[in-house]
Amino acid sequence: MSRVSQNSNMHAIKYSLDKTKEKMENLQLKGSTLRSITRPSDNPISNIEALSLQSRIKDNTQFTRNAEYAELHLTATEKSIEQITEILGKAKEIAIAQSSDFYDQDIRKNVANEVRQLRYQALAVANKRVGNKYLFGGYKTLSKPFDKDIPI
Amino acid sequence: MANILGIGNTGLIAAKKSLETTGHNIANVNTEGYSRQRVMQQSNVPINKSGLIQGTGARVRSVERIHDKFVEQRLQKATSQESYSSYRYEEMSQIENIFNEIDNDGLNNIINKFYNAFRELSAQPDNETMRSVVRDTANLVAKDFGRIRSSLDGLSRNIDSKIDGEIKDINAIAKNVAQLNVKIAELEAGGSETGDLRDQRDLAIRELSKSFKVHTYSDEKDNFIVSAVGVGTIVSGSEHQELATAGTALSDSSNGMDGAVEVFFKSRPAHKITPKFKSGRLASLIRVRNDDINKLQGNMDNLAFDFANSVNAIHRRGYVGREIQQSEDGRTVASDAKGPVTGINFFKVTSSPDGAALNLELSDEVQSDISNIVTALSPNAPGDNRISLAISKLQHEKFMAGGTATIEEQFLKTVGNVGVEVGKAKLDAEQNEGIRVQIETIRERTSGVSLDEEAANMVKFQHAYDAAAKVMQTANEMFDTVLSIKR
Repeated sequence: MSRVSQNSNMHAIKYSLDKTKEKMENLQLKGSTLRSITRPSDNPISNIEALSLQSRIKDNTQFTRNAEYAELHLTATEKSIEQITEILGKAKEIAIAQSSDFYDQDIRKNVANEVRQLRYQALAVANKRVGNKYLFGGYKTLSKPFDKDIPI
Repeated sequence: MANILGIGNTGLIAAKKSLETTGHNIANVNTEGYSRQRVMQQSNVPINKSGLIQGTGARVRSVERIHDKFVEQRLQKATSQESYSSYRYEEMSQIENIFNEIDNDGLNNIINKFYNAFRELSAQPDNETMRSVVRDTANLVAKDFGRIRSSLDGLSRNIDSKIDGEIKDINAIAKNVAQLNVKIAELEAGGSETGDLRDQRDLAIRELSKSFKVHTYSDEKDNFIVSAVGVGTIVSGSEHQELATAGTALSDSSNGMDGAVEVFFKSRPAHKITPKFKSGRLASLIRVRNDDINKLQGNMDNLAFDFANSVNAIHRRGYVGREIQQSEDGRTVASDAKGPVTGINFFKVTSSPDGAALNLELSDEVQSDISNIVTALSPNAPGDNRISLAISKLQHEKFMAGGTATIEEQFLKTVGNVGVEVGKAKLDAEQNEGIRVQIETIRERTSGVSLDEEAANMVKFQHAYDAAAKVMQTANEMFDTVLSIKR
């Protein structure tokens, strides 16, 4: 049995108390922040993984936003193309119907008017905008791609 | 009968001395660094009286402290180790705080925002609002690089002033030790030892051990020498050698910071001893400053430099997002009223990575006019998003560290290193504290005062005192008897 003095007692007790209190503090911190990692040194690898995952999540949110935006554009584009197809179909029908000399001049004048209307319709569709952007202008989204004054 | 009186007297004196010493021990039970003392008594020189050799009582030889000098040496070493690692932990966790982005936005998050802003811009390159968002986010990135770098600089400067204070403390303690050496030499000229002053000196040396690794010994002339291991003699007998500090120019500093504090002997100002200290607070502070912080500063500078250059390289290739005049032959003009239309840098160009993180900022063109944020690879194409798309793709491009890491990976590697270092420092600090406490307990067990023991001793010595007094009383009565024969 070794000698015990006043202070040797003290040292041993104080040390263990400090240790326990430190553990307590750590646990309380975890409890109050609801996180098992509060600083990088708690678990360096998990910390890095967490940060990198956060980035991935934000990237993907952004990708989703961009995809939604692209979808909007594609829908509008598809709709326009459908309309154009319809217009062209009508024009084709008229062309076939007028390919004989069955109709007289007055009727042809009316038909010509109709075709002109179809062309305006087609122009309107071709100059369609989403927001302030022209759909069919390529990279030049801010200038009107088709001009109605250009003669046929 | 005179003998009896004399012998009783020696016993009385010895017991009284022991009681005094016991009292001294009890009084100092809570004195830091105190070693309990003990009266060393022996029997007096015997005499030869008419052929009979007989004793002549007790004699107090000396008052000694109970002390184990090997334990003391181990304690000094453990103290140095403990203060080294606990200081390292303290400083490193401050560095860690700079890189901690678990609860708040840090650089990684902001760089991510930067790339995503470009992604958003690539979806709507003709949207002015998106451009200003890109500029704001880029400003945030620059600011955060600056925050990290200047915080590191701040820590480094903080350590400078800590080293300053440390050296002042060391000088004061060294002076104190030298004075104690003189007093001890004076008191011990008679041959016996002074426990109290030696305790005080040991305590001072232990205090010194907190600053650096100390080696002590007595030379052949019995001068007490204190030296800093790896550096040189600090105290020699009554003399002490003063240390001094001074800020140095950038070219001479050991950590690449202008005005960094270096340590040297006052008598030899040209000879810098800063990196020579072993263990203790000084070595810890110096290592954190010269190695850890210095490395991180370099890492951040490289990161900022490569980041800015990679963005610039792509940004320069595109054309500004405003209407560009064309000459008759269809070529675009090189610059218009608002400056050049292509070849514009996004970030300000720095010639070398030195201080790049600190000085990272947007180029004047981009800062002053958001139409200078380039999205298009071809002129007059507001819907062209190829440049902004390419910049956003840099996020996953391995252009750092010789083409092995993306910027995020490189930054996270740095953060990971800090985390690992802090974890290691914490472990070391805990372990070394445990070792120090253990040795201190051993020291207290041998040298510490036990009140129970002193109480028992007190009873013992008091009884001895009483008995010795009884002897003298008996001698007195014997005198009376002799004197009464005459009547």
